[in-house]
Formats: sequence, C-alpha cells, structure tokens
Amino acid sequence: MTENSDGATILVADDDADILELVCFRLEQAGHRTERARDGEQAVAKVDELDPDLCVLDVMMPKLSGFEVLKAIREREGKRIPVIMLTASVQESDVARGFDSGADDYMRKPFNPRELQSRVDVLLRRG
Amino acid sequence: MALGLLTVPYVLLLVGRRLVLAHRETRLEKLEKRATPRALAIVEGSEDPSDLQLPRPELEALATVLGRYSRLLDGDSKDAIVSFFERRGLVDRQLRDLRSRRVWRRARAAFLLGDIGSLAAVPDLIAALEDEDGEVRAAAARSLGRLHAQSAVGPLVDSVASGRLPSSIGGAALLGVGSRAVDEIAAMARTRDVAVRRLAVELVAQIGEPRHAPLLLHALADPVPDVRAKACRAAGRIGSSTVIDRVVGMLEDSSGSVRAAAAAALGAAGDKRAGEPLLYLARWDEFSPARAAARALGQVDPQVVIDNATEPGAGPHLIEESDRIAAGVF
Repeated sequence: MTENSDGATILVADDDADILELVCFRLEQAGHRTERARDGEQAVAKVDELDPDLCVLDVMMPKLSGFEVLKAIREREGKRIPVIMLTASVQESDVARGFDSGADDYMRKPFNPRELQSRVDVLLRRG
Repeated sequence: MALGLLTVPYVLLLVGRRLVLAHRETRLEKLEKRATPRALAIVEGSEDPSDLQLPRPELEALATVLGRYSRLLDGDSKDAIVSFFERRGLVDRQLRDLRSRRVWRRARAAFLLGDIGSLAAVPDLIAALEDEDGEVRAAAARSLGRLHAQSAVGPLVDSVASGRLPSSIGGAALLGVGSRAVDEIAAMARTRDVAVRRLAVELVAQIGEPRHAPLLLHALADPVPDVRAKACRAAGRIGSSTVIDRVVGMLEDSSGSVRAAAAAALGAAGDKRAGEPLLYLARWDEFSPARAAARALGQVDPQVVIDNATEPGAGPHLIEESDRIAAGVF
C-alpha cells in the first residue's frame, strides 16, 4: 500500500495487473492511498481488514466475481462503502445488474483514468 | 541402441531451446518491469517521449507495455500513447510491415496497429481486408474495430457478405465501431444479402437503440427464418412496444425456431399479453418452442404455470416448469 497522509484509502480489485497499475497510479497521483486485490476472495478479506473509504471492483474476477464481492460489502455492518464497478462488457444488462446490486457507479473498459478519478472524487465528497 | 544414440542430441536440443526461451522470457519480463514507471508517466502526460534515448531492447519493452495499456485506455491517456508511437516512427514501421511479402509480418502489423491506436492506420487496414491471407484480414478487421473506424463499416460488411471474413469476426469488429455502425448497416440491410441482414440484427441485439426499431420490424418479416429468430431475440433489448406487439404475432410463425425465439423474447420482456398464446404453445407445440413457451410463461406468470400443470393434457414442459418454479430455479 502506498502511504499518503492525505486522501482516502481505496481498494482496487482486478485480476489484470495492468489495470491495477493504471488505476492505482492515477489515484495515488491524486493523493489517495491504494490497496490492491487480485481476486474476489482477496478483495473481501481486504475490505474486512482495511475498511476502505471506497472500492473499485472489476466484474470478472477469479474465485468471487465483482458482483459477489459487492454483495459481501453491502451485507457488512458499519459504514457504507461507495463502490465503482469496472467492466469490459458491452451488455446493458450487466450495467443494470451492477446498479441493482448496490454499485454507486459503473465504468466500461477501455476507460479514461482521469474520468475514473473524477468519479471517485465525487463519491468521496458525497460520502 | 542406435535409436537411443540418435535421440540424445535431439533431447539435448529441446532442453537447450527451452532454456534459451526461458532466459529470454525472464529478460523480457525484467525489461518490461523496468519500463513500467516510464510507461505510466507517458500515460499521465508527465513525460515527453519525443527525446527519449533508449537502447533498442528497452524501447521495445516500453512499446510492448504501452501497447498493452492502449487496449485498456480511452481519452487523453490513449492519445498520449498514440502520440508516442507516431512520434517514434513506430506507426510508419508497422504500416511498412503491412505491405511485407511475409504473411506473418503483415498479420502482426495488422494486429499491432489496432493496439497502437493511430487513426492514420485506418486506410491501410481497410485495404488489408482484401489481403490474400485470412489471418491478415481477421487481424485488420479486429484492429478496425479497436479504432472505432466508422469508414470501415461498408468494407467490413462487404467482407462478411463475400465470405472473406467470418461473420463472428466481422460482427465483433462492427461492435467495436459502435452504434454508428448500426445506423450505417441499417441503411444497407434492406437491399443486401442474408449475411448482411443477419449481421444487422445481431448488432441491434448487442448495441442497438430504440431508434433502430424499424430495422427490427423489417427483419421480423424477413424470408429467412434465422433472421426472423434473431430479430425476435433482439426485440426484448430494444424496449419498443411496437416491436413487442409484432413478436406476439411471431408465436404463430411457420418456423419452430422463430416461435421458440419469440417465446423467449416475450418471457424476457415479461409481457402478460402473451399469456394465452404461450400456454397454447407450451401444451401443443414441438419440443423446442413448447419448452421455450413454458419457460417464458414461468417468467411472465408463474401462477398460470402452476395452475395448468396439474390439468389433464398439460404436457411435459408445463410440468417441468412447474417443478422448476417450486424448486426456485430461474
């Protein structure tokens, strides 16, 4: 995890190492602390361990999907963690499913890291 | 004994080759890991790559990492990567390779140009759709999709219609172009052959919008059953009540596959108006449309399924669907 005295703690979960690099780099440049998870089970464990301020979840992940991780997050007690889903899917049914499952925002890949950062900032301000 | 002696050098050769490849792979991984911070800086726009003086292996590693990032990014981050490739002459190099006499070079160039993301490559990639080799044509199509090249819609459709491209590859490329591809293909769908009409309906099913409803209405009356069936499946996604009204009528189509597709679409749409005709199909129709109708009725009005499954002459599909509802299987 990258240390920064300011900014939020953000968990980024994706099985693609390049996505993790790109997203974490942008968020760290914006002054946030990031933590990485490579699969759904790791993501759930890190949410319990770190109680992050926001999560960015890939939909298609090994062990547990992004939807299953989102469900686990929503079933936790304690503060409500904003969640942004990232997906390669073009299907609107996946977007609808994400929002129905309790996601706060949804971005498709390919994505613009600065746009992702803006959406993170909006959710953090709202929270 | 002689055979044993002959295999020893062969095994040694294989082992030696494996070791060389493993060493090369490790070296490449290390180079790419070293290139990553610079690649991230280029993506961020915080490093100007024009004056980078790097040894060739490091420059190639940087290009590889940026090529992977390019597939994942959009907007100004992607523009920064494209600018890197253009300014370093890497786009021109791939365009030259696209004219190589060697098929593998042309195919590799066609593939890489999509990842590089430079729109300057579009005309050459469109020309590559006429290449004599199928791998080159497929790679060119894929790259045109990645570049969202609207000017490639007509040539891609021609390639599928003529059989130069498999429809799955052409369709994937058109999906990449986006919903503007549907607008253009809709204009062709009434005058072109069945492969084009099929492609048009598949695109609408994936990325169509309500304004594409007229294309679907036309496709529901297509002389080819497969096109009508695809149009039924696309209907639920578009959300047009006019189209759904017509799909109810498709439950009486002469083709079983069309009736099955219409039933599935009505189930997905949850339209209770279709209750009576679906019940009739579920009881009396051939296996595939009857089963689809029973499943659809289970989505539209589960109670109707439960009530009718116990009646005489209910048929196996209503009984099965009733069991599924009771078991909570959806």
